[in-house]
Amino acid sequence: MGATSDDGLEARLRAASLSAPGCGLDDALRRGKAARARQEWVGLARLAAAAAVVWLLSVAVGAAVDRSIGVIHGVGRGVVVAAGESGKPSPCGVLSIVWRRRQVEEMALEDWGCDWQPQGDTPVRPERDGRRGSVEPVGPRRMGWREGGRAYV
Amino acid sequence: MTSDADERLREAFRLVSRGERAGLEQIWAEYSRPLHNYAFALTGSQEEADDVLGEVMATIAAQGRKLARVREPRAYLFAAVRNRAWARKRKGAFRARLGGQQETVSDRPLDDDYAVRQAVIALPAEQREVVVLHIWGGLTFEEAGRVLGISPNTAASRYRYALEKLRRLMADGSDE
Repeated sequence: MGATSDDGLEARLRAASLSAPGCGLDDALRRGKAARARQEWVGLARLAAAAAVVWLLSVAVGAAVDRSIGVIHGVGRGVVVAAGESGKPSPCGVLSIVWRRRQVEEMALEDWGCDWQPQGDTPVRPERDGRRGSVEPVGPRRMGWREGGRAYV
Repeated sequence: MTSDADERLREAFRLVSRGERAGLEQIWAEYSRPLHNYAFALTGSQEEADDVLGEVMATIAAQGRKLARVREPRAYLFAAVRNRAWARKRKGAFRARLGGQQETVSDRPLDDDYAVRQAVIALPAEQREVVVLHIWGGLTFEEAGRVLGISPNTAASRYRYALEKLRRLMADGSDE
């Protein structure tokens, strides 16, 4: 067969069979539904894997922060060993950073002989008794310009 | 032909949207082969084309009422095949068997179907899609352009280039 006109070529193409379905409608539907179900499971599995990665990262960040501030974890319970056990179950993940930092700060203050409560010489704002201006100012009072201080506008 | 076919398909979509199996049967009877041809042109494999067609039919069956709102049902069907084929390709469900064909038309001079199939497979992907959509899918260049996201003129020129190449390939194959 030599050169063919466009019409002849198109007719030849149309007459040829490129491919044909290898199954009937029911089989095709069954196959398609199975494939869709598989895709949904794969999607869920990916989501779960992503969540696991995020959780692991948060734990790793928490551990890195703990290590940077000198906290050593006991095996199995995740409690602070270096500073003594608190008896509480240790939270894990990002929230643990806040909780453990606070715990370490508390223990460090105890080591230095400090108290959590303000000491007597620390200026403390007294409770108001409900009247406006009834409370003495705390700390050194600024002098007004009439008294030789700077004028604050 | 186009408007009649569109109207029949729209009616089939309406049936499917009402949950009637007759609609699916109608779509299958009229379009399973053209859709399979297109899936084959995209994947290069009969089995993959079967899988793609199955997924498309299952998707259509699951669409429900949305189907009744489809404006261009034929373009919708072929676009669905294209999307499913590309999604499978992205996920690595199949390796594209096209493009790297070592076998030429003249390697196995069997029947005309085989020669045509090999010549079509040897076309560049963008030309192959237009040829299959126009010849075996019965789509106009406007519809084919909509499926492929190109203008009708681009679709027509790709078709012309494809025909020239097919003529050359098939002449070479039949001369030997």
